[in-house]
Amino acid sequence: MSLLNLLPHLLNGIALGLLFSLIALGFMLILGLMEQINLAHGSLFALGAYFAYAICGAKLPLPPDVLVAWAGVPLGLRFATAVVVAPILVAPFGIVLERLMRRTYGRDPLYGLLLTFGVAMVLEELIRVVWGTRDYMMPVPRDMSGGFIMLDLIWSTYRFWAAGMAVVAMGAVWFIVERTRFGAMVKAGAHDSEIVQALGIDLTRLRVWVFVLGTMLAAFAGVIMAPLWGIRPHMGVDAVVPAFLIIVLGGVGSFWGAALGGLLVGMVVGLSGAYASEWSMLSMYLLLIAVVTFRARGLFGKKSVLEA
Amino acid sequence: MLDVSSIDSFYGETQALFSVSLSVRAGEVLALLGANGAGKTTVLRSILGLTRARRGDIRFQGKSITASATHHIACAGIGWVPDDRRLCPTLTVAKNLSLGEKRTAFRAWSLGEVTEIFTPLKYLMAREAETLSGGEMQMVAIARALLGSPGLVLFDEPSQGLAPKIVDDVMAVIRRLRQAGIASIVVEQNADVALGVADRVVVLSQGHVAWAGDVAALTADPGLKRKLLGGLS
Repeated sequence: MSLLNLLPHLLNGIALGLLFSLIALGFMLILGLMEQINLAHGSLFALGAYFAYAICGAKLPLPPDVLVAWAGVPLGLRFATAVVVAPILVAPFGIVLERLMRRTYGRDPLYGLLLTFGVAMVLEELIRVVWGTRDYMMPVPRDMSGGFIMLDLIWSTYRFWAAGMAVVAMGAVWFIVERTRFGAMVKAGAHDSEIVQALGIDLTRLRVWVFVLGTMLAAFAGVIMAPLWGIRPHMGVDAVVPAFLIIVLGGVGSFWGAALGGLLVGMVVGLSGAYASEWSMLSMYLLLIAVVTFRARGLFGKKSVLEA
Repeated sequence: MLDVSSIDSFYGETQALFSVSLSVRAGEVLALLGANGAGKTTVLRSILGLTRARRGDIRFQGKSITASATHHIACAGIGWVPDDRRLCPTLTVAKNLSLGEKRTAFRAWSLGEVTEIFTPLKYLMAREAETLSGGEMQMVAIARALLGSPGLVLFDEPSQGLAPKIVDDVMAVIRRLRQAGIASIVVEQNADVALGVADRVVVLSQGHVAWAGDVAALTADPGLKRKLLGGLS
């Protein structure tokens, strides 16, 4: 296989990695402030995909005439609406989950782990009740679908769109975390929740907002990923495992760690898939073992909550 | 301004404070002295609601804050300068200061006024807090408390780990706050440092108030001072 032939696999891997990074960033925000691993993060990702499918495919619980009118709206506009509205619709699920998790704050992380595992199961079953067990394909606007030829190779148009949307969302997260007072509050709260409260910051409200942000990021990633992966009830598990792996790989609490970790995982999965597809998922676990063996805190990690 | 009435505070099932009472008037400096483990920091934590008083009452500006959330207590106008400064190490000085900014019913301090008091801060704004020296961290911690427009500042071991010159500077700031009508409670191991700046003293021993009165009364009686503060001067 020539190097040129590897290029599409590499770029596909980068696109996949950017989407993994996006899921991991939402996961990390919650882990950083709440010191709890949210296993339901993948289910929120799946909900985002299903809500997007309902909006885009005009499968909403609305009166028939409204639904017919909505189905007549150009797909591009429906898709754009799904990208914006689906994460907003998933946000209340995150708010409820945060409310349920309050009793676990400051306690053994096992409580949060068990609770969020239970919530993940409930959400997955809820998806099966509402949408059934069959797979769905998310409709994509004509301008974003199909492929194009470059360097005598066929490229997927949507993967470029997906990578672009992921980069924009990651840029927004970077701005919020690194450039705003809210981001400073989140970092300070993750470091020392007592001092944040003693400075007059409402930690309960801050946690809710962080959960909303993390949930919307998961849902947004679900919307973008839906046309690539297809939509099925257990797609959340396929997302949450790489997300957790990326955080450990990149280093807990590091924005650039999550970004680089996601890209590395995506590229390893993409490239190994080119040679031996059955090794593509296994390769990311091997990458994790390799990095963590030589640097237990991950690539960019400082002292992590997992080491406490 | 602040009235602490017969509070009992606990860590788990271990009682740390036994019917502790004290009061602070506006613009007054109260020194809270005692040996290690006497309960000084617990008094501050109880006032802030970080360690809840299970019995007794804490009133600030006439309103009970005993059961209030910590952020409400801070927004009422009580600032805190913790003994280990507790800055966010990965944030710059400017970001750490911005976290403290809030309006209360008391005098508002601008960043310009604060950097006028702590001149070196002007040149430290872009530095990450983890790169600062102990004295610089103390400056940031006090400045952060002032930007929260407090009526009362709780200083926990402000001289701890600092060079004598910097300790003098910190005490000068406490005097300046008094002139501005801002009250302070100064918890100190170094009794002479605290007595040099305080108007009144409360001495704690094993969670009980052992003595309370004016600084002048304590310093005028060397025997009493030795008995209460023997190893602390």
